[in-house]
Amino acid sequence: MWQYQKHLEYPIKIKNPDPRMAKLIITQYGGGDGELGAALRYLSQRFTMPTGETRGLLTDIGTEELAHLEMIGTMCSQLLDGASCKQLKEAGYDSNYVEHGIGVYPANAAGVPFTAAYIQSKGDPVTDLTENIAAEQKAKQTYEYLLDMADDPDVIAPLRFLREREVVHLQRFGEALQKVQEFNGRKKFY
Amino acid sequence: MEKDKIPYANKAECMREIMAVNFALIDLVQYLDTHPKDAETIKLYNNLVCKYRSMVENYQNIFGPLVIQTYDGSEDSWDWTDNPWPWNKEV
Repeated sequence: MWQYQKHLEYPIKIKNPDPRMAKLIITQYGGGDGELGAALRYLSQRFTMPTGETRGLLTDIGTEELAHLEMIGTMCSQLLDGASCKQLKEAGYDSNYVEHGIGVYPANAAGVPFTAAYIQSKGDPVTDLTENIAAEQKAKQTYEYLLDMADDPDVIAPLRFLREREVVHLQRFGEALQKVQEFNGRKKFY
Repeated sequence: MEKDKIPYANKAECMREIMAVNFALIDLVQYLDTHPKDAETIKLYNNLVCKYRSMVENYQNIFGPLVIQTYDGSEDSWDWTDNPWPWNKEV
């Protein structure tokens, strides 16, 4: 089970509305390489992890991804807060607006709703950890692209933080994969 | 529980310090998951947990609940639902 901490993982205070950026950043909420997919991927895969270390790691990283989901939702919400209808139209946000108003909805930057087809839970630790390494790399790349499109320091700082977390998770999954392979090798040897 | 015993200048600064220590804990937990024999880091982790616990307790005594399951300060009205929430700009 979980307990909620009534604060974000990293501070976010975006002063100026920017619906164009909200429309892009939402992809890390409900897109293919986004935080919702990441959380579901790790929290689902952990049931077939073979060691205490890997069960713990997937639980802990999966939990952090939920905090990242909250950060992305916060960014989108603040980027839309106070935007006029004119600003929404000019930013091309009108098509999102008629579906969701300024609500936060899990979809990608093109408006395609979230689907579990973005993730895999294969029941094999080597396969799953290999998927996770690729997933973290893809999420990092998405943050790089978002940073290319951002110019507001209030937006750039949390995006950079999130990008760095992908790098750390990549490292941890690499270590876990190596340990699982050693564990499997040991089992065969004896 | 005395509301006038304020150890920090303001709420935002207090919150920022908690977030910093909380983040260090998140990162260390994941590191220790794959380095479970690193005694030096375990020591650092244990020290930070103590620090975190007392910071949260101080904060909750003065500004209200962060983790409702660890908060018993509500009296005539339920403090948990007080604004702001983390996504509000006025945090």
